[in-house]
Amino acid sequence: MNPFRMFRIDYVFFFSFAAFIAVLITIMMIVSYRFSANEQADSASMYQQAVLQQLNKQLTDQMSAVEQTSLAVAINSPLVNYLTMKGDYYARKTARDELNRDYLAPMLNSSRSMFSFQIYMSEPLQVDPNANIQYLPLAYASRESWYPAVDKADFVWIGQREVGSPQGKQQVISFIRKITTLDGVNRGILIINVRVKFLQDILTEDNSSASRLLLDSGGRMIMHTRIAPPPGEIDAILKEVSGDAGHAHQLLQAAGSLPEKNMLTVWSRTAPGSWMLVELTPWKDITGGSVRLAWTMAAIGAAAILLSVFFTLFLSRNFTVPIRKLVQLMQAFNPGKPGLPLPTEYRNEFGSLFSGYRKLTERIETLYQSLEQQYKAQREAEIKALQAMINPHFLYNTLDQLNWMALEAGQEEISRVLELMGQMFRIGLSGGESMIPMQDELLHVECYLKIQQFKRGKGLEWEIDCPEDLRQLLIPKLTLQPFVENAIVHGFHGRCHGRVVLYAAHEDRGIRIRIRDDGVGLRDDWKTRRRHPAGGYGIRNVTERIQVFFGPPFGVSLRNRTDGSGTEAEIYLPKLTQQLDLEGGRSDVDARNRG
Amino acid sequence: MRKSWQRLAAGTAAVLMLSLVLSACSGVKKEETGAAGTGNGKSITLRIMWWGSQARHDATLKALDLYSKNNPGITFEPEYQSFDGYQDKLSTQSAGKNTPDIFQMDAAWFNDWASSGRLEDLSSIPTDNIDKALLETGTYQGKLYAMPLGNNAWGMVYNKTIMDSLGVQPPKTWDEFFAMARDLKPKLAKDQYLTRDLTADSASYMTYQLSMGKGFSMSKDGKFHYDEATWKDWMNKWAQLRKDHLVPPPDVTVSDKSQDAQMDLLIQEKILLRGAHAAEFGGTDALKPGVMALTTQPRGTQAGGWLKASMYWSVSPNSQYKEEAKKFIDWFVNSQEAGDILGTSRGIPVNKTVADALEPKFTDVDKNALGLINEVSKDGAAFDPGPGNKGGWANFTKEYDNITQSIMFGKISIDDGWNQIVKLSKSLD
Repeated sequence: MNPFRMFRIDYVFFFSFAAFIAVLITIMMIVSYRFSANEQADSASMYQQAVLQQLNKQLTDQMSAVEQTSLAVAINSPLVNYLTMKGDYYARKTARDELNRDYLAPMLNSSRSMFSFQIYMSEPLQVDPNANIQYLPLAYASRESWYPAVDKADFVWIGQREVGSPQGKQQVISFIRKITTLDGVNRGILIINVRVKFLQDILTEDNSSASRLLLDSGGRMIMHTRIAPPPGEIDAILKEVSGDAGHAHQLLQAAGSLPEKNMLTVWSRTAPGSWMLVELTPWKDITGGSVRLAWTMAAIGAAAILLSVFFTLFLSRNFTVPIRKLVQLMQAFNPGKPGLPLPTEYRNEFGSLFSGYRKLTERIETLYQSLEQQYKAQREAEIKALQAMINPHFLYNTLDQLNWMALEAGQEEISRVLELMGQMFRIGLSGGESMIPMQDELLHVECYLKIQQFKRGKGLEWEIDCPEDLRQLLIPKLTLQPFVENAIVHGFHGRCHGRVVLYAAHEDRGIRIRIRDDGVGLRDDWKTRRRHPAGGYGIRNVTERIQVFFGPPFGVSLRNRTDGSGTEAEIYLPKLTQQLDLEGGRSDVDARNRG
Repeated sequence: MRKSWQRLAAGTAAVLMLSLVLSACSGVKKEETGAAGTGNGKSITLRIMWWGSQARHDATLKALDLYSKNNPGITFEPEYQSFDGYQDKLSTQSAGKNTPDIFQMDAAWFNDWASSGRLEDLSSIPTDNIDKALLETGTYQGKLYAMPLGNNAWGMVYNKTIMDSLGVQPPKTWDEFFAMARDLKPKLAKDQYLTRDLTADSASYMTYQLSMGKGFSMSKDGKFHYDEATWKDWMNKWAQLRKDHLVPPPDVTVSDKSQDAQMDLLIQEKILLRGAHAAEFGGTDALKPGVMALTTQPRGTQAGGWLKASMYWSVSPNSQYKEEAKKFIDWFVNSQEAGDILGTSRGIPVNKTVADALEPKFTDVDKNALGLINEVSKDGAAFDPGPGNKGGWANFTKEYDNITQSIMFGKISIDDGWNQIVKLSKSLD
């Protein structure tokens, strides 16, 4: 089912155009979205990596400052003295107060990053879990979750946790270092707490809306901004990590707390085995620009479709207008009636179409007219034929009546003529057949001769020679009589006797009939002087009929006799045993006969 | 036909124009929101630091939230703690030019700070309804450098529930005080006492000397006014009580951490009374609601308490946002909505209008504080802010504490202690 053959041209034109543009725009949308989304992800991740690198450096600086401080504190002799001090309460208290007042408190007060100290020791004087500087019994340390890690290493960073402070419970990240004296004895544990908010401020100082994670070398989360993915998702993120910096497009598992699963992850670390900063940006934030681009394309596309709608409508209208006009004209066409005027302003293919159509209609018009004339003529001919059929019958009946009248009046001779004439008419009618047996045709000729004999007396002699087997063959009726008549009229011209001979013989496939007279012969100008009032017409009629019925080599020829004076007519006919199928030909012949 | 095409073309053009205009509009919108996001420099974080009890922290934080809500773009970075170590911290920050934009100031250090140019002039803040006498305490050389926040009085807080059950009233005089420390002990638990050992408590000694008519032990003009007889008398009385186990042992006494739920001896009911400011009472009551009450300091020959401004707001001259800070202080002291939230967390509000509007809403706690202030105002002394840290007084204060603690722990005799103090006083300018 081909739409180009099914539907209206303007619809096909219109919809295929619109569909084409829609498909084009859609492809452009998809392609531009794909390209620009990847571009943006690349450029965003480049930028983020640079930012992360910077932040990483800042964090590293802060943290190494904390690490250095912790070392300085851990080897500080007042601290070590206090830790190793035994006995007198007052002395220990004084040592502690001085340590706090002169060393630890100023250190905390002057630092923005360090928030509080926790010192685990064997026998603290007083345990205050809400102080800036807390002295805690070593026994507590072993209960802490970080203890195993510290037990194996001299120092370690541990992730976000809660500690007591003068400002209540605070979220901190802690650096833990064993306090070991020079003789290698472990005297306690020093913890420096850094407020999470302080580090978060560093991580968020560029006002990024992205979520950042700080992971230690073991992939444990130290801290985070905004959203904290559960450990399973951190593992999933780490699987993608390769090299010190890079980015990946990840679909995180649904289990997490993240509202958005589709993420761009960018990571950066200063060296393998160091801390790693990971930034998670919702993918839709990255591709927002591309989505806007795609929608802009869609808007432009919609506008283009709208525009093309009008344009194609305009085009198809203008293209189909002449076609529809033509269709309209063709529908309205009625031969013989004056048609609608054809547009003449077209000079292109439509012009050819219109002029072709005009020629066609003109020819149809002409044909129609001739057909009409022909029809009229045929009607006339048919009427004439019917009339002609009536005339012979009427004549025949009248002749019969005349014959009786002549008999009653004792006119034997007239009666005899009338009888012969009746016989001729009967043969002439022959039931409307155009072919009659040779026998009947010869009888017709004999009747004519007998009638002529009444007029000319003993002066007229004739001879008819026809083989028996030819007598049953069919020939066109009234073929011979005109020649005989011609022979008598011309042969006896100016004489009182004459002789007419008629021979019929086989020749090849046909019959050759010769009719001779012994008269004056043909005049020299007989061919040009055709229009003799009587005889010429009959012969011409026969000649033409034979031409129409049979064509060459059959036909008629007239010439002067070579063996003496007189004329010889020669008629060559085919051997026919049954009626010709003259459907086409007869009316033609008839028309010629009558016209 | 042609007409309709023109119309169509015009319509199409209109649609296209419209879509262009719309997209242009949305573009503009985006830029605007983007500009709002970066805040256009209007996003300000004010650092603010104070000391106090949890009750004061809570009220202050609530007030800060309200202010941020009413003033979009202004947020706070609060730092707060107890009084211990506050001055050290502030001093260290000041040395690093890193003081918070706004910080709480105490009368005792005001002169030091104002005279050394570490405070911003606050004279532009309206003070029409604020007690002139209190304003005077925050003024240095005619300029207001510290905005007083409340009326305060030095008195005593005591465990009214236990005292009532024992059928005794808090001591009115020092004689009653020391007698009660002795008489009440048998009725108390083994580790329960009337008072802790005040040997090393310099503020209590100053109250004692004042009540004995000898004036403040150190004065604003930087003079050493410790009275030998009074001092030795004081130390001897405590030595006797210590010897007789009528006060907690020294290590218990030093473990006292005021207004800490676990470490405050009064809250733990290890002791029954303690010197206190009226403005602190809210915090104490919050830790043990309905148990405590305020009373005046014991009298000697005269009253021992004094009236003072509870505390002040000061602004750092290094602050980037001085005007915003002053605007905040104006709101803090002069607006009723701030007064409603803060209540008496910093004493009776200094703004008379605010205080009057607040009075019908006073709770028992507020009434207690107001009662003490009224009582002290009858015959109490005006507070002498003392010499501050200048002229060796910082070291003196530190060493004085060491000496008195040594006495308390029995490391040196009272006479040795006095000699050391006198020797120390010689190094003062």
